[in-house]
Amino acid sequence: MPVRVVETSSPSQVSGITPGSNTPPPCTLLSVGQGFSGTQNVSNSQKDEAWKVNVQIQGIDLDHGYLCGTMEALNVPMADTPVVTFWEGEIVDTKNYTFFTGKWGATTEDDIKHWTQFPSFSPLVGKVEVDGGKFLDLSNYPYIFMRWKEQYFVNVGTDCGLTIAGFYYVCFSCSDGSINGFYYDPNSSPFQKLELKSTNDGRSGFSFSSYELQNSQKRASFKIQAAKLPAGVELPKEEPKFNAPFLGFTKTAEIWNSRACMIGLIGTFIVELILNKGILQIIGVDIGKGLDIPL
Amino acid sequence: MPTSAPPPSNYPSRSEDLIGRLNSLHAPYEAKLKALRELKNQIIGNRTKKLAFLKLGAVPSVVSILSSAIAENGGGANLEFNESVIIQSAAAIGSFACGLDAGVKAVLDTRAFPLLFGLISHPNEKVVDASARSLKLIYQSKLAPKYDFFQEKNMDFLLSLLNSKNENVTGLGASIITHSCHTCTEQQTLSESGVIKKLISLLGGSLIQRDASLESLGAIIKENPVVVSKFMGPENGRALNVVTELTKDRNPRTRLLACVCLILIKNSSTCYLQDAGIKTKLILILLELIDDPGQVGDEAPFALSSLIAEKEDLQKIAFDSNVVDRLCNHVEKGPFQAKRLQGIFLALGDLCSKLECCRDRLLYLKAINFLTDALTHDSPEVRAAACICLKNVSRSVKNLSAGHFMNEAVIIPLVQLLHDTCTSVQIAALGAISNIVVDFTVHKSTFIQCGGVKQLVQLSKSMDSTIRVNAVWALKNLMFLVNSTCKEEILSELSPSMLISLICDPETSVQEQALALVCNLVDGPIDSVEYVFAEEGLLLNAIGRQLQSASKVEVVIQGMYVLSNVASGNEFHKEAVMNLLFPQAGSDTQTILIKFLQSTDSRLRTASVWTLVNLTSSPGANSRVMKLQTAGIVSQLKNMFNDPCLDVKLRARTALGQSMSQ
Repeated sequence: MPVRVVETSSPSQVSGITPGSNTPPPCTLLSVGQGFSGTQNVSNSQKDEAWKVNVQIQGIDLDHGYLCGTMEALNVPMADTPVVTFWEGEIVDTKNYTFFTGKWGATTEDDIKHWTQFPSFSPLVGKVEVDGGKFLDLSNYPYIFMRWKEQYFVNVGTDCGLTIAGFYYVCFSCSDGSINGFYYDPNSSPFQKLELKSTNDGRSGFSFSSYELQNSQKRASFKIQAAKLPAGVELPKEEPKFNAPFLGFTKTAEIWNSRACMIGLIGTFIVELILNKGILQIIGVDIGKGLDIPL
Repeated sequence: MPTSAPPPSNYPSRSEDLIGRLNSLHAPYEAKLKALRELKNQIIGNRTKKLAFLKLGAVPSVVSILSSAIAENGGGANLEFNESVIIQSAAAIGSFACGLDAGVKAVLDTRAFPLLFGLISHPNEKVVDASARSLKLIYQSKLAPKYDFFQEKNMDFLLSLLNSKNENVTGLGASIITHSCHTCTEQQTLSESGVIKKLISLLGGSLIQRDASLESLGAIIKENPVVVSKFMGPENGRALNVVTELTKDRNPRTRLLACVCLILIKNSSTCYLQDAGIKTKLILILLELIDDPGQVGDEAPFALSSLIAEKEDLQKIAFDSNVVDRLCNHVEKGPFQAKRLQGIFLALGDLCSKLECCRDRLLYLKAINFLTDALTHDSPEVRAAACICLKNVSRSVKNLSAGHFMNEAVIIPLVQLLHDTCTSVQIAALGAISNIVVDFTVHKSTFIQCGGVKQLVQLSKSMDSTIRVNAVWALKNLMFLVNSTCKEEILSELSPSMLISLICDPETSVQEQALALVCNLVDGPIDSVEYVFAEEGLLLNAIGRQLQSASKVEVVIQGMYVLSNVASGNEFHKEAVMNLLFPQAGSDTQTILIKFLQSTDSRLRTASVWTLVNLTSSPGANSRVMKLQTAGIVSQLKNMFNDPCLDVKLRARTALGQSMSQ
C-alpha cells in the first residue's frame, strides 16, 4: 500500500523512564486475556457494510505505554475464513506517547480531527491542541486513549487483498470496558468506526485470566527451603553422607550383636560354675548321650 | 593418546629413579640439585607428569630438601650452591601448584607454605623472586587458605609486600587480596589501610603488576559503594583516568581487567560513568576482546553481560553498536570452549531481556537454530545459558502470538532438559518453557503432545521448591486461554488432589502460582467453572482455607480472583462462593471480606470488589444482596465510593448500583 511510513521505530523508548508517576490506571478490564467484540463500520458512498470484529488483549506494559493483541474480522467479503491480525498499541500516557502521532502519515490536524470524535476527549482538547497534551495528567482519567497499529496477518497471507496500512485511534472506557475507535488510512474511507464491548463467554459477570513472563532477574538462583524450619533449628553445616550397607550388615550393629552374644555365652558359663550343672541339664535335657538317635 | 608418551616400560622407572635420587640420604647435593632441576623441567606445563609425580610423593621430598637447605643456609660454606637448591625447589613447588588443585593440596599438606613465606625476607633477590612466584601460583587456586586481613601483623606484612620493589612480590600481595577479599568488612579494612592508594600506584608498573593490581582493585571495590567513592575521590578521579587509559592498553588481558574494573565502578552506583561515550567505548572494547582466541575471549562475554544486565539504556547502546549481529556471527564461527559459548548466550540473553528490537534481530539472524543446538550441548552451563537466552527471546509477545517458538525443534529438546540431572539446567529450562507456552495460538497442543505436561506435573512434586514454583508457573501459563480439550488433557495429568496439595504448599510462591493456575482453569467457557467443584468441593474448600489463613497478599489476591471467576458463573456457582465467604455459623469468618475491602493494597481491593460485582450481577441476586447487607458489605462499598484507586472506585460503584437495583 502506498501509505508513506514516516518512522517505524520500535515502541520501546529508552531514556528517562521511571515507572509510577504518570501511568494511566491499570484497569482490570484492559488486562491480558480480556476479550472484546463488536463491529467495524466500513461503509462508504457506494455500500453500507459492517464487519463483525473480535479483539483480544495479549500483552500490556504500562511502563513503556505498550499493549498488543489480536483482532479478528469475521464476515470479510473477500476472505473465506475470519481474518486475524496482530496489532501493537501506544497508550497515550503523556510520558511515552502524546496525542500527536507524528508518524504513520498522520498530521496533527488528522490527530485532532479524530480525537475530537470521542465525546470523552472534549475536556482535554484545549490543552492537546498546543503540544499534544504533553503536560496533562491522565492517571486518574476514566478513559484511556490509544493508537492501535496492525503489524501482521496471523492466519492469511499478505495477498488476501486486505490492507493493514492504517491505524486506529482508540478510546477505552474504564467504567464499562467499552472500546470506540476510528480507523485512519488516507487511502481508505474516512472515519470507519470501531465499536466493541467487553465479552463474557456467556457468563453473568466478568472473568479474568493471567500469564506472567519470566525474566532474567532470577538468574542468581535464590535458595528456598522446602519447608520452613522451626525457630532455633539450624541446618547442619555438613550433610551426612550415607552409603547403603551391604545386605544390611552395618559395622556398629554387628559389633553390638557379637557383644550381646559373648555376654550371653559367658552368662551360661557363670551359671554352670555356680550350679555345677550345664544349662541344658538345668532345663531338663538328658545329656551325655549325643543326639541319641536309635540306629 | 598415541602421541609423545614415552614407552611405558621406561617412563615409570625413570620417574621413580628421579624420586629415589631426591630422597636418597647419601646422594651428594650436586646430584640432588640436578634431580630437582630435571624434575622441574619435566613437570612445567605438563599436567600428566605433574599427576604422575604427585602420586609418587614428589612434593614431600622436594619440601624436605627445601627445609633442610633453609636450615643449612647461612652456616654452610657453599652459600651460592645452597641458594640455588632453594630456588629450584621453590620453583618446583610452584609448578606443582600451578593450575592443578591436587598439586595445591599436596603442597598445602606439607609445611611448604610457611617456609615459602619465610623466604620472602631472604637477602637474595632470586630466592625472594622464586618463592613469591610459587606463593602467587598457590594463591591463584581456590584451595589456598584465606588470608586474615583483620590481624594487624598480617596487614603490615601485606603492605610490606605491596611496597616491595620486586614485581613478583607486589604481584603476590595483589593475588592475596584477589583471593581472600570477599566480604564488605574486608573491603572496608583494606581500603582504610591505604591498600587502594598503593594498588593505584602499581597501575603504572610492569605488566604483571598492572594486571595483578587491576584484578585486586576489582575485588576490593566489588559491590561496595563506600569503597568505590573512596577510589573515585582523591585527586579528581585521577585513579579513574588511569584505569580508563588502561582500557586502551596493548595487552588484551589488561584491557579486559580495566573494563571489568570500570564495570564494577559503574554498577556500584548510578552516579559514576554515566556519559554515553564511555558506555559505548566499553561495549566496543569488550566486543573486540571476544575475538581473542584465548582465555580473555572466553571471559569477555561475561564482562559484557554484567555490563548490560538489567540496564535498558546500555542494552540500547549495545544494540546500536551491532552487538547482536557480532555475537551471532561469532557463534557461527565456532566450535568453542564451553565457557565462551555460555558467556555469549548469557550476554545475548541479557540483551533480549527488555528490548523488542534485540529479540527481533536475534530471530531474524536465525539464532533459534544454534540456541536449540546448544540445548543438547555436553556442558550443563551451556545448556542452562541457552535456556536463559531462549527465555528472554521468548518474552516477545509479538513473536509468541505469531507462534514462532512453539514447534517441535524447540520444544522436544526443552522437554528433554526437564529430565536433566543438573538442577540449574532444569530451572532454566522451566523458565524458557514458562514463556514459550504462553503462545496465544492453537499450538498449545504441540507442547502437550511432546509429553511436556507429564514432566511438568512430575516436577511440581519436586522436593526443591524453586523447581516446584517454576513448574507450576509453566503450567499456569500453559493454562492461559487454552481450549477445553487441552484443559481436559492437562487435568488428566494434574489430578485435582495434586492441585489441592499445591494450593496448600508450604511455600507461598507455589500457592500463588497454583491459585493463578486454578484461576486460568475456571476462566473461558462457563462449563469450566465446574472444575473447581472437583473432589466434592474439596478444591474450593482448600481455596477458602488459604483465603482465611494466607499471610502473603499476592496469594489472597489470586484466591479472590478465583472466587471472582467462579462467581461469574450461574446461580449455583454464585451461591457456592457466598457459602464460602459467609459460612452460616461462624461470625468471625465474615470479617475476611471486609478485611480485604479495607486492605491498603489496591490490587486486593480490586479483586474483592470484582467478586462482589459478579455476585450482584444476575437477576436472582436478591437474597445474596440481603446477605451482603447484613454482613455490612454494602455499607463498606458505600465507603469506597471515592476510593483513591480509579479501578476500585469504578467497580465499587458498579457493585453498589447493582445491589441497589435489586
